[in-house]
Amino acid sequence: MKTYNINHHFGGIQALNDVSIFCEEGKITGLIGPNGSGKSTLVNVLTNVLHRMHGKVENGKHFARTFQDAKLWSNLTVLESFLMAQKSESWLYSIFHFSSLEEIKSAKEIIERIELTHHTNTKVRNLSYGQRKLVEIGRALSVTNSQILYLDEPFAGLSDISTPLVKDLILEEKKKGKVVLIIEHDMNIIRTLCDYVYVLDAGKVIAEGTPDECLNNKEVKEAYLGL
Amino acid sequence: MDYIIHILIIISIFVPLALSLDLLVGRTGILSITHAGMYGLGAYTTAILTKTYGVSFLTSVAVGILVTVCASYMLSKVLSRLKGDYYTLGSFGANIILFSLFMNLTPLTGGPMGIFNIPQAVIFGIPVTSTLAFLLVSLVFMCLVIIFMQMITTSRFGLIIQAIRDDTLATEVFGYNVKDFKTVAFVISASIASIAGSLYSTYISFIDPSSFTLNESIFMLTMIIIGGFASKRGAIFGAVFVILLPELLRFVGLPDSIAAQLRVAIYGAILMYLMYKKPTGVFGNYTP
Ligand SMILES: Nc1ncnc2c1ncn2[C@@H]1O[C@H](COP(=O)(O)OP(=O)(O)OP(=O)(O)O)[C@@H](O)[C@H]1O
Ligand SMILES: [Mg+2]
Repeated sequence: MKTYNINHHFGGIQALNDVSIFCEEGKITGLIGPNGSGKSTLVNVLTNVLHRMHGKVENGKHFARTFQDAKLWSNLTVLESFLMAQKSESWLYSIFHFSSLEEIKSAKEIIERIELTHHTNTKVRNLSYGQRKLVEIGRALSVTNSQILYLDEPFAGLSDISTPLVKDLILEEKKKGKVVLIIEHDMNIIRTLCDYVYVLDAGKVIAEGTPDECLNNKEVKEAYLGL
Repeated sequence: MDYIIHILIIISIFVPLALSLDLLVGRTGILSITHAGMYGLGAYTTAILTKTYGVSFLTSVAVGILVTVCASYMLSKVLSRLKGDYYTLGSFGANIILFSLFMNLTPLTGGPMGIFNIPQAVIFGIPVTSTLAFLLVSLVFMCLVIIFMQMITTSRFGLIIQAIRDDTLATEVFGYNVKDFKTVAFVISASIASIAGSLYSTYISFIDPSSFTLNESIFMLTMIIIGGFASKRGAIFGAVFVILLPELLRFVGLPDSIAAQLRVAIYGAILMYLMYKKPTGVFGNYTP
């Protein structure tokens, strides 16, 4: 997936300023930067949540994503949410579509992986914050034909028990050859998970490279890590 | 006995109205208040076609559905440009426009005088003459609507419209054409109301615009608010309750003039009590 010179502004704020990034298949690309640097805005532009104002994007049609503030279907159960995410369909088809055993089985597999088996039929709104974060991630992983996975701070708010489960799941997506773009503030996670990292500051890419290169970059240390 | 049959017929017409309104308001989260207008389209189509043109009842129902599908499709396209409260206000306007059409297209609708002597229904060659026979017909209709609602709400369509209600943006991001689903929910809901209208007009054999006012739409909304959103049991309970309440008041022996006002006061009191104690309604499991 490639982007060229993406620009986006909200009123007077230039949230993205000529951002060009390149994410490879089968690699996990990290996107880091201080609060308000435009990371979420970039993902929102790439997933058509926001319309980009200038620039060019080359990406696959099928993507899945998580939102920084979980945007869940609160009155559906966990199972229903995952079933819905699997594959979008037209209204006509959907009227006659009753979930098949196969569909339910693959949804349940993911539910098991994120250890929410006891909450399979719980309405999402009755889950705790951490559990909802897991549903957000599980829902994105349920999409069957996605080529790109965008994760906006998936680890924020996760318990220490859930973090390794999610790490494993993300690594599996990488092995499947998907493009994975992950926004994360925890440098340990960036170091262990990412193959390549872009650093955003005030809407500009100020550094890119392997995690170690970026984290040792002087400009990055000043702008982001405050060292 | 006739009195009880009458009440049962009215219930079996209003339960489908409440169920179909709930599909739109409770499940899809579209607060549209023009259901009585759609009900009126069916009622007038059947009245005009069977009386003036001697068309058979079932054909008139089919034409009524067709008219309503077209009208609700266009209406939904127009309203979809409006957001939130403005959508609801727009739907108010739609009901008022339909009402004034019924009122003013005098050559067709009889204007304020309405249409009299609407012929009794003949279904598959069998004339539905007694009220008991009509009750049977309307009960069959009600059961079909309940079965249809059961099917559509348990199908993937049912999940998708609820997802749209809960988070429209997320539903779009997961690839669904939200606009299409909203339009279809609107059209299905309106079509069921139209059939109910056709039944009503042959049953009562007289219609005038007063049955299809904005107030009437709000009356239907009251049913599903009391019963609870996104719940079939709720819609059924709400319709039965709201229709039986004035009859019960009559039983208590209150004169009609007082009962009519007391009725409205009681609805108000119940709604306030529910908002305070149980904002989801009696059976609902969802609060907007
Ligand atoms: N909808 C919006 N309207 C106006 N300004 C916005 C909007 N969304 C984001 N911004 C602004 O755009 C800039 C970039 O925001 P963005 O959410 O992309 O940052 P971020 O890098 O994701 O930060 P964080 O780490 O806090 O999530 C910020 O200055 C923010 O205030
Ligand atoms: Mg962000």
